[in-house]
Amino acid sequence: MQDPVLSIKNLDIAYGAVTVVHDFSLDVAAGEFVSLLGPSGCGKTTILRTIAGFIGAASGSITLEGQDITRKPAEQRDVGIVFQNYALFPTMSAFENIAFGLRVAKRPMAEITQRVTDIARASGIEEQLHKRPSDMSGGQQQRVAIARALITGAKVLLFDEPLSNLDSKVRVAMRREIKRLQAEFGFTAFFVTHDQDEALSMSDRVIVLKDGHTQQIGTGRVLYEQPQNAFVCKFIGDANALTAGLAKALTGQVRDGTVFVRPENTLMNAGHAGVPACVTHIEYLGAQVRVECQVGAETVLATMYGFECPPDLSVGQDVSLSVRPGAWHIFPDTPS
Amino acid sequence: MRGTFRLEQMAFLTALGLLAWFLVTFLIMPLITTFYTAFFDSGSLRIGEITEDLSRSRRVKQALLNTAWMTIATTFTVGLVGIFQVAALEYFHVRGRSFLKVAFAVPLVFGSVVAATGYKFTYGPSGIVTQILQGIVPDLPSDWFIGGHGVLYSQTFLLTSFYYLFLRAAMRRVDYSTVEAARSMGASEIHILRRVVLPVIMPTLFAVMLLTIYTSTVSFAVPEIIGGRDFTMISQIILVLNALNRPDMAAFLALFLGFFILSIIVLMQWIEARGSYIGGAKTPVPIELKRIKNPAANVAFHGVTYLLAFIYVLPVALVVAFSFAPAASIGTEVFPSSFTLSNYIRVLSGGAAFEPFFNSMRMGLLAVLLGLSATLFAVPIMVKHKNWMTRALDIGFFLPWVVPSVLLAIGLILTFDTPNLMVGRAVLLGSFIILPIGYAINALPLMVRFLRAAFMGIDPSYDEAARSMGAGGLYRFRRVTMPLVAPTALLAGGYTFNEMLTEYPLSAFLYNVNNRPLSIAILDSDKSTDPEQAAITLVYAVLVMAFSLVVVLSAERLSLGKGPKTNNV
Repeated sequence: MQDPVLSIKNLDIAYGAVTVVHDFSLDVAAGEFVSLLGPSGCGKTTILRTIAGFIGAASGSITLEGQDITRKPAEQRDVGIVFQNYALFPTMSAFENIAFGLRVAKRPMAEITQRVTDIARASGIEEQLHKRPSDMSGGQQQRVAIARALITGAKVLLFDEPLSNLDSKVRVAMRREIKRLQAEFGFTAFFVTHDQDEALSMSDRVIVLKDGHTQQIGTGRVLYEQPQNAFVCKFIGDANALTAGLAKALTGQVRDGTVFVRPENTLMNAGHAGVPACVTHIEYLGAQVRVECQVGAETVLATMYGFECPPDLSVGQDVSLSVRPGAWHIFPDTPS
Repeated sequence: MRGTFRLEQMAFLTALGLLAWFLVTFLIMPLITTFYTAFFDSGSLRIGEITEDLSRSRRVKQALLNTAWMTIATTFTVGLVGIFQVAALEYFHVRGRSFLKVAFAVPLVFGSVVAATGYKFTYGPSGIVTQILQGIVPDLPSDWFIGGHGVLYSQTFLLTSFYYLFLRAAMRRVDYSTVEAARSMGASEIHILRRVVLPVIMPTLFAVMLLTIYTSTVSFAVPEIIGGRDFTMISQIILVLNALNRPDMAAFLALFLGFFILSIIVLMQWIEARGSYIGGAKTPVPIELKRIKNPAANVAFHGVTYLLAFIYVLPVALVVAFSFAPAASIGTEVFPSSFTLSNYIRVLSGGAAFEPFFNSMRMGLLAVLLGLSATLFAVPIMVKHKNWMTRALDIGFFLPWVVPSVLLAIGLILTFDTPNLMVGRAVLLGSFIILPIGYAINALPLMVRFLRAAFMGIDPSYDEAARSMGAGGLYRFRRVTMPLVAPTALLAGGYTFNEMLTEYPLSAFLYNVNNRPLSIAILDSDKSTDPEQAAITLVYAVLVMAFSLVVVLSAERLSLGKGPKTNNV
């Protein structure tokens, strides 16, 4: 990796006596898009707020463009933030919101007008500049928030679950828009989310976090196809966790630990000998069909393309299950 | 950047010091002085002596008795009228609801000295109602209205504003789907009202009743104007004792009143802490007005509602009408036969008639500026930090709420009637500034309550967003926080200014030749037999009401929003 623009080393973050983030380290290259992904309460927003300077680090260091910013107040860090609710100042127009950072820096009015107009044009919100946040759509507010964070020349933009307030269609559109803006302005993005689709679709790398501990860092494909532990395997996508007996019957594996099989690798009536099962639930999702089957006391999920699913498949029907050869992961049992 | 930060820190510490000085000097010290005066003489405890003196006084005993029965009776009558009003506005469909809303809102703009004068103008010895009644019953004494019963009547219609404001809001929180559910199970209207609606509004109802007890106990202007010579209440007797140079007895009685008020407030907070019944519905359905199906009951209900509305509107209508009438028509005509602007010209063109109005405006404005400076500085700190200092500030700011105005007034008199080190050895009693300071102290709890809600409602990410863009503390406060709380600050300021325009208890104790306020001028004119003076009083009343109306309408728009629609089933 070239010299990282943002470097976090051995970061511990504590609320009082309770440490909530443990030994977090990460190097982010210039122009890279990294996402911090994890369930609620895992510490991802806490890390973002520590980088921003709103929470103090208990130990460790944060370096931005080679400069140690660990103890700097938030107002001197030069990182941009896009908040979950955008935090656009409701009393100001879009223009005033975007110009805020330049006014703080006491830039001349002519320069402010020029730069705000330029960034608004590039962000596709030139027509909205006179409007108050309450008069704009979620997508437009999002663009204003990004423009506001970028205008002072911040090299790193922190995104705190910025798409969670949007409806699903706009959310997909905004993912692309954020990527387009990143390509346009070349900023480095640090994106916090609990939505794996968001993280996988936008990021160069994803950091999976659980209880303040890093679980795995890698591209979306690596995380999905080569998970390093049971948590990542279950958290990224779906996975059937098979008990020893069923695992032996389906995969032939007799090993300590739990065998995980992705639903798309669970085959139904594949034409060769399988494990007898009974269909208990069918979810038709258009392109995909999810079928839940009962094998003894266990439930196994299989997914397939709609055209692969027999049209007469029904609940209560007996089927046989098998697993695509070699398509499983085995991880040692860990206390839950 | 570092220099700016240091400057900000210095400014912050200076402001904190000033705030502490202000609260200690003008609130804590007066209370301690009052406590000392009431219980000690030259360092020795003398509680027995004072209680003996007080129990020997027939007037003190009578005032205590009057206050007790007046408070009980007022709580009952106000409750009756208040609940009826809320039912008429928020539960049953009554024709002309918009007019009724305005009529029942009259006490919001027609209170204190102005209202007492208005009631006396309507029902008093030269009042229109008295003239009409004497036409029917010639033997009716002209002062038939003056006395305890007149005070009770006036307070019954003047103290319903709590019901109008809070009980109505509580009624709007009733989830209408629960009413419909009860109806679908065959419950009668009375049963629904008693078992479904009432339990939801019960905590508010209790709180409102306690507010009525509070207000009635410290009632001052109404008994002063309508009570006559034979009916006095506790606040009046404290003023008399102070004038008779018995500050110890006045202080003792004021403290007694303070402890009673404190117990009421503790009770109110206990009720508040018990919370209200909040339904589990994520989308509660707003209440819909119910039509009374029985025609006779419907007519009777409309009749009582409009009679009440008439009682509310009559004094205001007469005050407004006669403020535009030639002075000679006051007390001689039932309704003015001609109209003129001369009364307004006399008041507004400066001179002696304008002076009390000008004084009150100046002092009100000063109190608002002082109060807002203190609270706009302190409240964000109190909201953001929880430590011993902010807790102390919190208690300090709320003390004036539990301290009756008369107790504060006595404290300020006892503390500043001699040179005081805390104010550079100045004697503030008799100065212009003592009254606006008292007003400001009095207004602090209301301002803190308003502003706390406003500051707590601000999304912290606004401040964080501004910080991330490099904005310093003062800049963030000025450009981000202030515009967000400005409407609330303006409203709190407006309310305070409105209250202080006709504030009576503090004014009665602390006014002097340098700052004779409007409330005292109104009271003096009321005692005068000169019709010109009466005309000026009416103009004062109308101007105060006009200002109050602007404040109340702004508040209504901010808090309640649109009203419920009618269910036609």
